[in-house]
This record gives sequence, C-alpha cells and structure tokens, in this order.
Amino acid sequence: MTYLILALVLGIIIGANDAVNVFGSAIGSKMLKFSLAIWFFIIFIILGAIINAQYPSAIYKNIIPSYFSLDRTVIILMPVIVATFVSIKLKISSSISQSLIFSIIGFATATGININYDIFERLIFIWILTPFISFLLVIILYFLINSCLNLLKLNIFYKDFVIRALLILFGCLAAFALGSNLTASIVGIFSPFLNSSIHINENLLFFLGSSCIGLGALFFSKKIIHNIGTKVSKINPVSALAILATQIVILLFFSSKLIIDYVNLKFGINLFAMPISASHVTLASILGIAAFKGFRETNIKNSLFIISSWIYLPVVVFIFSYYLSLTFR
Amino acid sequence: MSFYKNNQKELIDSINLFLNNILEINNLFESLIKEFFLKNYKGVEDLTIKISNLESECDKLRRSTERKIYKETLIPEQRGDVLGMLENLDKIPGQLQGNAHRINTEKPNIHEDLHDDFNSLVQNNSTCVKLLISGSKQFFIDPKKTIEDCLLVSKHESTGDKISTKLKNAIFNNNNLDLSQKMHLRYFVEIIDEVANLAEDVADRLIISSVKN
Repeated sequence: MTYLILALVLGIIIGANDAVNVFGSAIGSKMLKFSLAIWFFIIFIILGAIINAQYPSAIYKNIIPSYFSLDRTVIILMPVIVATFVSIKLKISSSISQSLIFSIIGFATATGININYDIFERLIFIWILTPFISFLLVIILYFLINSCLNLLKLNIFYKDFVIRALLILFGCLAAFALGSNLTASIVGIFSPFLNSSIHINENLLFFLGSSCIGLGALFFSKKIIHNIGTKVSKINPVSALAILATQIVILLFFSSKLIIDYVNLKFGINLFAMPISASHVTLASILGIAAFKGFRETNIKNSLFIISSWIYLPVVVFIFSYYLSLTFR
Repeated sequence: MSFYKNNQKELIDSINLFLNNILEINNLFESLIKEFFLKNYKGVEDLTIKISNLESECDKLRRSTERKIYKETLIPEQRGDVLGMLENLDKIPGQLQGNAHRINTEKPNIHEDLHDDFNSLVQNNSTCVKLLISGSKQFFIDPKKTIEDCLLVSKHESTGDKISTKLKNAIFNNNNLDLSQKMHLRYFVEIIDEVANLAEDVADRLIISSVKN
C-alpha cells in the first residue's frame, strides 16, 4: 500500500512541478489567468495520459529487463519524491522522468539487477540532445509565428485575441503531450506488475495517475508558476507561443508511436517512445528566445543555477537510491 | 471566445471614436477661428459649446477604455504605451477647448494684417493634429506608418514655431498696438501654438512605443 501512497504523492508533486511548463509562459506574460489555464491543463493532461501514455511508459519496463518485487518500488520512488520536493522548494522545475530513470539505475546497480545499457545510453543521448534542439527550434518557431502575425497586419487588440486563443490551443496540445510523458513517469514504474500483482486496467491507472497530476497542479502550482514564469527571462506573448509550440513538437515527437514509426521507417533508425523532460525543453526554449533577443532581460545567474541542477539532481537521486537500496536490501 | 472577441471590438470602436472626436474638435476649432475673423460671435459661441461637449465625451471614452484594458488584462505588452498615448492625446482636446473658451470670452482684437498669419498657424497646428491622429490609428496596425506620420508632426511643429515667431515679431513691431494689446495677442499666439507642442510630445512618445513594438 505504501507504494500506492507514494505514487499518489509523486503525482501531486509532478502536477505542482510541471504545470509551469505548459502554462507558465502564458501566465507569466499575463496573457492567461491561472484559474482558466489550470482547468485546460487538467482536462488535457488526463486525455493525453489515457490516449498516449502507454508508449513512453514502456521504457520503464524495458530498461530493467528482469524486474523486481512491487514493494521495492518504494525505494525507487522515495529519492524521486525527495529530490523533486527539494527542487520545488528551490524554485527549480526539475525533470521527474530523469529522476525516476536514475533512481531505477541506482536501485539496479545496488541490487545487482541487469540494466539495459543500450536503452540507457540512447536515453541519455536524447536527453542531452533535446535542450539543444529546443534551443534552435524555438528560434525558428518564434520567427515563423512572429512573421505570420505581422503578415496578417491585425489590429493589436485582435492580435491579442488571436495570441490568447493560440496560447490556449497550444497549451492544451502541450498538456496533451505532457500528459503521456508525466503519467508514464508515475504509472510506468508499475506497468511490469499490471495483471500480475496489480489487478487494474491500464487505462484506469493512467486516469488515476493523471488525475493526481491535475490535483497537484490545481492546489500547489500557482506559486511556482508565478515564480518561475518570469524568473529566467522576460517572456512576451509571442515568445510564450513559440515556447509552447516547441514543447508540443518535441514531446509529441518522442511520445507518439505514429510519428516514431514513420521516422524509423523513413530514416532507417531505431528510435523509441521515451519520456522527455518538459522542464528542460521549456528552459532551453526560454533561453533560445533570450539568445534571439541578445540575452536582454535574462537572468543568467538563475539560468546557470537551473542548468546545473540538470546534472546534479540525477546524480543525487542515483546516489540516494543506491544507498537506500543497499540499506534496505 | 465570441464574448472575448466582442470585448476587443468594443475597445477598438471606443478608441476610434475617441480619436475621431479629437479630429472633430480640431475641425471645429478651425471653423471657430474662421467665424471669429468674420466677427460671427454667435457662431463662435455655438462652436465653443460643441467643442466642450465633445471634449467631455473624449474624457469619458478615455477613462472607460483605460479601465477596460486593465480590467480585462488586455494587450499586456503594449498596455502602458496605449494608456500613455490616450492620456497624452486627451491633452489636445483639452487645450483646444481652453483656446475656444478664451477666444469666445476674451475676443482678442486681432488686426486684419495678422489674420493670414493667425490662419496659417491654426492650419499648421490642425495638420499636426490630423497627422498625429492618423499615426495613432496606425499604431494599432502598422507601427512603421505611425513613425512616418509622427516624424511629419515634428516637421510641422517646427513650421508652427517659425510662424508663431513671425507673428510675435509682427505684433511687437506694430506701433499701432499698445503694450497690453501686444501682450494679449502674444498670449493667443502661444496658446494656439501650444496645440502643436502637445501633438509633438505625443508623437515623440508614439515613435518610441512603435520602435519598441
């Protein structure tokens, strides 16, 4: 039962931590109100989880081919919860999927369980690559969106209306894409036990997981959104749109079976659905916009502080999980 | 969403009405000067009342527009610029209304030799206001056009300065006028010229806002 409570807590923490990635820029740029944005977030995070979470969720099954007992998931979840909680306290939006994978690796190393290093290496490679892709992609998307809006020669009040409508649309799509990623993080760890130790329908599990995320977002994300929304760099509404568009492209690309199968077929590669850090994509996108504007109004110190957490947080989680596993072996 | 779009339309309409009212006040003031030189004082009084009513309407429109922009948290990026623009623009009808009242009440004795110069000063200021209103309308659609119009405002303001200097010279070099008359006329030259100065101030701010956006 403890593992279920921890999964519930993790879901709530994820909601508090990740809502900022979807609507943080829009709320930070004062284009959307929290009370409106959060309901869109909840609805689409649940939809994304039910429709798409099964694909990135599979990674948790595949990274450790020979699995462990269900009770052991507590040892894996505990370091992730602590690390995420601390990062929220430090006002850093951290990557929960990465923390989970590193916690699993720490646990597996300590307990001598085989690890699929091929998948792990490819995961690390993609995780390093995605911030760079986001950084470049957001500049292209910003340029495209800005050019289209300028081309329409709209009155600024209509432009404001169009941007708000697009922010809601893009936000919903990003929440949908994030729903599969995030729910995969909470539920994915339990997927090997489905129908054996846990007798529950997978979709119901995804629904419960994403509902926890929604609850976390509803009750605990407001302060984080207002803190992080404008902490790194001043975000204008068009930048917020470009950031969301980048998130949608990156997250959907790596969570959609349809897209991955097409890319694999087209380019003869062996990509697989995997959880991507929305926090990293968001920060890299904000920095991409900041770079495009010559790093004016950018808090470099804060940016470096958050980027450094991308390295030390997984390491801390790995060490914590490793020693916790050794202690309770 | 359609409710939201209606809000935007209402705002655009009220800003356009505000700008058109300023244009109307400007045109009425031109007519008022013509009537004044024709010594049609009844016409001057009627026009002054019309200008006053329109000026009050401008105040109401500005306040309701500002309130709405803040209440609906619209155009967060340009909100400060738009509010600054509306507040500064509102000084122009205020100045024109004051000028109309002063002319109606004080009925300055402007010698016929000076009529042409006074007329060209009023015409020039009127052009400044027209250009400014055109630039202000474009601010919401095409900031580049705003900059072009606002630069022309500055050019016309300089022309206005030259006309007013010429007028003042003519007034003070006129030996048929006593000093009190000269001072009175100089005062009227200055308050009429003030319209162009105010227009230039708004134009300068608009240029900065347009470059920023």
